[in-house]
Order: sequence, then structure tokens, then C-alpha cells
Amino acid sequence: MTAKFDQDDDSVVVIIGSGAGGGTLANELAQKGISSVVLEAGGVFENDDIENDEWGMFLKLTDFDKRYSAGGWHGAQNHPTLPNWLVKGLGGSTVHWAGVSLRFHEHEFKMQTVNGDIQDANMADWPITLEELEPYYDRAEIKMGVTGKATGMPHLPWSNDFRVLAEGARRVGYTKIESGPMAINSVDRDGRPACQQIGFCMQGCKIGAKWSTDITEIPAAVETGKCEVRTNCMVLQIEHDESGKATGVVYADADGNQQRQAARVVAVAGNSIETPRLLLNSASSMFPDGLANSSGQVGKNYMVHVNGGVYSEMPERVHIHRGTQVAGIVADEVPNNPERGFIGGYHLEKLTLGLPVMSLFLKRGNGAWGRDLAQALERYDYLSGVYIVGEDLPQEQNGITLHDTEKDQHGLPVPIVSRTPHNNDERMLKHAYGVMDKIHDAMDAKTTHHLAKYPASHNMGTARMHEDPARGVVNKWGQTHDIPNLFISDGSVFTTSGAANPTLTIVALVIRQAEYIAQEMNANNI
Amino acid sequence: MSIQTEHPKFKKRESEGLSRRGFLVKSVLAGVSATAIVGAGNNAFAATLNEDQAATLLQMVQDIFPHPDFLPLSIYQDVLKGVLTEAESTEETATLLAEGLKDLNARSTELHGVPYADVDAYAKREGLLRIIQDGAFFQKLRWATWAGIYINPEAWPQFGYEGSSWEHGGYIDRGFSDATWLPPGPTLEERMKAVGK
Ligand SMILES: Cc1cc2nc3c(=O)[nH]c(=O)nc-3n(C[C@H](O)[C@H](O)[C@H](O)COP(=O)(O)OP(=O)(O)OC[C@H]3O[C@@H](n4cnc5c(N)ncnc54)[C@H](O)[C@@H]3O)c2cc1C
Ligand code: SF4
Repeated sequence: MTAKFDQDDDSVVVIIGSGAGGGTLANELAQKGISSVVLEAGGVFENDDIENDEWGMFLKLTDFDKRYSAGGWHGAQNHPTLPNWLVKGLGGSTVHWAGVSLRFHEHEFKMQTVNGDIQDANMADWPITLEELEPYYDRAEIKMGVTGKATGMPHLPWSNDFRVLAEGARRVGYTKIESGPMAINSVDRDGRPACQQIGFCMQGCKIGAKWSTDITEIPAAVETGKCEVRTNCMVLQIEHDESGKATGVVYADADGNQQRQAARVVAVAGNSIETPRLLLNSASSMFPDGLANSSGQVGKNYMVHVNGGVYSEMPERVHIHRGTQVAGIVADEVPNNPERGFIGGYHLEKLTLGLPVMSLFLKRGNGAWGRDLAQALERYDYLSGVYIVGEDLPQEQNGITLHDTEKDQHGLPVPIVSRTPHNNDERMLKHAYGVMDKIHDAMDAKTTHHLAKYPASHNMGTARMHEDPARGVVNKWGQTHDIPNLFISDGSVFTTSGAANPTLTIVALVIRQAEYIAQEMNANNI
Repeated sequence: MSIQTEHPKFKKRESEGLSRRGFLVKSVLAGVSATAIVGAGNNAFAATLNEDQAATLLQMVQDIFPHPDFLPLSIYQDVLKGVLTEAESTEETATLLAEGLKDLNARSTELHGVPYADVDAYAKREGLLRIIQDGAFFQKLRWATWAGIYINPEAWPQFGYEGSSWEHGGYIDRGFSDATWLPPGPTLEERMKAVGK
């Protein structure tokens, strides 16, 4: 039932990217009978490509297209040409995501109202509330197969590693301790098996227990006969007519030849670096600052979540590598409580690192070698630890810009990803380190390591949602204020970051957006 | 030249009783074309690197990620074989190694009166390497050693890291939650109840 659309068929929705946002949108539209062409820059990872090999899969999955890191964050120093950890391929970064599927809390949609203006931050409220999004969170959880009440799937069984965190957290007085919600089957469901505790979720789930769009949304969309997926097709530019309406896209096909695809609606879901880059690269005489950029906010307010890793040597073996990489979350520090010295909150998420990645991040930089590091690694099997995920404040100067001279393989300027943490980030991180040290101390930890930070994996905010067209790029449907038939369908639309890993919210927003697109198409408004 | 594959653990020089250099070089050279390293020939490597230097490199890779009494010497020998093999065919690498060693030994002689491999204390050798750690010579050996240990499945068992698991059915029945020193997690019934089932 594979659909094939003519390149000048201007009745289709063109969707750029096939990850969490793009894959979901394609399926939602297809189920409503709306035709789409998905253009995906990367190729297909077959099941045979998926190996339980942490380093090998890092090399295989990671998008190594040229991007520069700038600003005062760790990226600029530690991995200056790999600011982000992305996948370019069918399914996008959902191929290697861990599956944590947390909802935003109510206050996280209105951080400005709750906390007032914050110096050096570009604070704003979302134009939507938790209440409005709740039904879509339910639908997202059912679609993705998220453990919890909406699906009735129990959270995953507790691994040794999580039992360390849970017991330590309990000893210091925490109570919000759960092995979910995860978009990983804890029972056979929806044609996918229950998790076998293989332990390589971030290398691609070999058995498909974890939701990723390449094995769920995309095949389901294609099945309807309403969706054509073209892989190895990188969109270079979005085109528009004299009235300022989007008319289609120019893309490079697998052979590097330029092609065009006409469109009735264009939806961009390239993740928060490539999405603003494409808008900026699509500048024209009518839109000299880039498409949908009358607010000047395209590429600005880039957020990544306050994050850090804390691993400690426990008195007994943990076998951290056995079992789901993340399946265990402590949520007591999520509420907004400025008395702690910062606004916003954070999650503590148990996270497995294999020996390869542990050896790379326990210490970082040219000096990461020697007896101390080697001895710490000899205790690998005793290590237990977490990933801290906290609210990161939007700042206008943090963002994506185009390189003045350097071009990519298609002749387009490469992106520069700049970020300098806000003071609030630093204070939150310090607090979180303190809490983790206490939790691990409570478990009689012998030594504690604060790890070097990873390349950014949660990317948000670079085409943000705001009621006021002067202050944001899209409205509450993800529709650009400037161009009614141009939509943004990924984490770029986040007004603020919350303390929740972003994907569930991306999917919920896109389900809601698909309804709106269908409604507006039916009404002939777009 | 004998091939020393049966050497299970790294043994410190002091406990060895053998001429360290003779022993080390033999081991390093096992499996690598010796003529390419010490024999006559017209490649840059043969001209620039001798057995002493190979022995120094072996000391270096052991000092970069030292796991004495933990990893077998063969892990480090393999690291060095890889580097030496590359130097055989790549003049740039051969020169990098030869000049790096010359520089390291000069610093060592200046500070401690003996070449690097004869400096007896780890802390002193580490100190020397810290001085050169930002250079290409050191970083080349550091990454080669890193790869030879931490992404090498042969070294993993010693760390308790078990590698690929899907072909064994994951850990669902193989100890993902086997710790007896921790309170157990909730039962399936409790987890079902928590989601309203
Ligand atoms: C290791 C890791 C673990 C993670 N774990 C979690 C987690 O547990 N929970 C969570 O919520 N999030 C997690 N994330 C983040 C999660 O992966 C992202 O939030 C999510 O995938 C973003 O969806 P997206 O649609 O915006 O982008 P992606 O999923 O990255 O998809 C974007 C796609 O667009 C394509 N594309 C880009 N530009 C173009 C172009 N010009 N033309 C054509 N195609 C283009 C790309 O090739 C890519 O396939 C994790 C990320 C990493 C790196
Ligand atoms: S632990 Fe579960 S989700 Fe992760 S790779 Fe294994 S089966 Fe898949």
C-alpha cells in the first residue's frame, strides 16, 4: 500500500523529519485520511544494524554532520564539533532515546506567572495549560505504550541499580520513587514484546519493546496508503509564493540531486537545531531574516535541561549494565520551590552507562587518564548512578546561528550552537549534586564521581510558542505566526523546558496539532 | 621470538627477575613483523625506532591506564602492536612516535637523570606524562590505550561488564535484580495496583 505522490502534487502535507515529532504527525494525519510526504535526511536502520555495542552504535547512529559549539557551556570545550547527540535516520533520535515519558507539571507551563521576571532570562508562559494538554498526554501515552494509568501497563520491575537509588532516596526522606513512566512495554502490547532487560535501549532496542517511530508511527502511516516516506532526502529550503504562503520544499535526494516537492502545508520536525537552521537558510527577499522570523526569535532561547551525572561506588556489586538503561525516577525535587535558591525543579533518573561510555565521561579532557581513573573503572561493577534532568531557563543569546563561511555537503552554512548556562542552572545543579551525594552516602558509597556532561540530548525552544507574535515564532498549535500553512512539530516550540524529558510533550503537542491541521484544511483556511 | 600469549596477569618489573627490556620487547614484538621494526630497510620506522623505544612505549601505555594485577599484559601488547603496525605504513605516525619519545626521554633525563622507562616510581612517570599530555604524541597513545581496554570485549569480563546480551535473552532471567544486599522492589501485584489494575 505504499503511496507515491507526484512531486508537483500540491495537495500533500510535507513533513520534514521522521523522529518523535515528524513520525507522529505523519501517522496522526494518515489516520485522518490526510496525505503526506515525509522527507528524512537519514537512511534506515534495519534490525540487523542494531547491536548491543555501546561504542559501535554511537558511531553508527550518531549524526556527525558538522555543527559547532560555542558559548560558556561544557560543549564548547569538551566536544566542540559535537554539541548535540542526534540521530539522522528513519525514526530520528527516538531510535536511541531511553524512553522516559514524563508529563509537565502545571506550574511548568506558566513559569513567568509563577516566578515573575527573572534577570537575564527570557521568561514567558506557554499559551496552553496542563489542563488543555492532559487529554493529549493520555493519547500520547496510549499511542507510545507508556507504563502507567493511561495504558494500565505496570511500571517496569526494579533493577539492582534502581533499587540502590530508591533505597538511598527513601533513607533521605524522599517518597516519589517509581520505575516509570517509560515508553517501554512491561507486558506484550500492540504487537511489540515486553522488555527483556537487555540493557542497550540507547543503542536501539533490538526487540522493539521500546517505542520508536521507525517501528511504530512510520509503518502505521505507510500502511494507510496515505503516506510516502523518502529517506536520504535532506530538505535544503522551504519555498513560498508572493503572498507569503509556503508552496513546497527543495531537497537533496540520495544522489545529491536537487528535487522539489510541492505542498499544501509544510511541517518542520528536524529537532531544535536543524529546524531553526532550515528556517534561517530559507531566507528570501520577502523574509530576509529567515522564514517565520518577524519576531526575531527563530534560533533563540535554546534550552537543553540542566543535567549532570553522579555515580558512586557501592559496597556491593550492582551490575549496572543489567537491565533497562533508565527505569527509575525520583521526583521529589520537581516542584517549584525558590527557597532552595533556584526556580524550577529537577528529576533524578537512574541511568546505566556501559563501560565504554563510563570510561569516557567519568573524567573528560586531555587529562582524563592515569591511575585514579583506572582504579575507579576497576570498580565499574559496583557503580550506581543517575542522570539529573532539570529546568533550564530560556535566554535569548543561547541559540542557533549560521556559520559565516563554512558550508555543509549541500553548500548550506553549518549551524553554530551557543549556550551559556544561567546562574539558576548552576545553583540547581549544585543542589542536585548535594542531594545525590547524600543519597549515595546513605547507601555507604565509597567514592562519588560527578561526571563530565554529555553532548546535549534534549533540545528545545528555538522556535518558541508564544501568544504574542512579537515574542514567539508559533501560536499554541505550533502554527507559525507569519505563515499560516507552515507548522513546527518538534521540541523547538517549547516556551520553557520544564523538568521533564521532552519527548512525551512533543508527541502530545503533535497529536493536538494534527487535529488542528485537519480542521483548518477542512475549513479551507490553509 | 617467542609468543607470550599465556601470560595472564601483568607482573611488575620488580617481581620479574628478568631483564625487563628483553622481556618486554619480546612480548611487544610477538606477532608483529620484527624486521619492520628493528631490521634494516628503507622505511622511516625502522630508521627511527629501536627495541628500547618499543619498550618505552609499552611502559607508557601501561602508565596511561594502569591496571596492574587486573589486566593481562597482552592487552597492552595488543595496543602497542596496533600502534606499531600503523607506524610501519604511516611515516607520520613513525615520526610522531620517534620524536615524542626523544622529547619524553630528554625531559626525563633532565628531571630524573634517567630515560623514562627507567624512572622507578609511577608518580614520577605520571608527572612526566602530565607535562606532555596535551600533545599529539601522548594523545595518540592515550586513545589507542583507551580503545584497547574499554571498548575491547576481551578486557570487559575483568571489569564485570558483560557486553552484548540480547542473544542470551537479556537479563530478565539472568540477574538484573539479583542483589541480596538491597531491599527488593515492589511485586508485580503492587506495580499493577499502582497503575489502577
Ligand atoms: C541518548 C539519548 C537519550 C534520550 N532519552 C530520552 C528520554 O528518555 N526521554 C525523552 O523524552 N527524550 C529523550 N531523548 C531526547 C529525544 O530523543 C528527543 O526529544 C526526540 O527524539 C526529539 O524529537 P524530534 O522529532 O524533535 O527530533 P528527532 O527525533 O531527532 O528527529 C529529527 C529528524 O529530522 C531529520 N532532519 C533534520 N533536518 C532535516 C532536513 N533538513 N531534512 C530532512 N530531515 C531532516 C533528522 O535526520 C532526524 O531523523 C534522548 C536523546 C538522546 C540523545
Ligand atoms: S532493556 Fe528493554 S527497552 Fe531496553 S533494549 Fe532491552 S528490551 Fe529494549
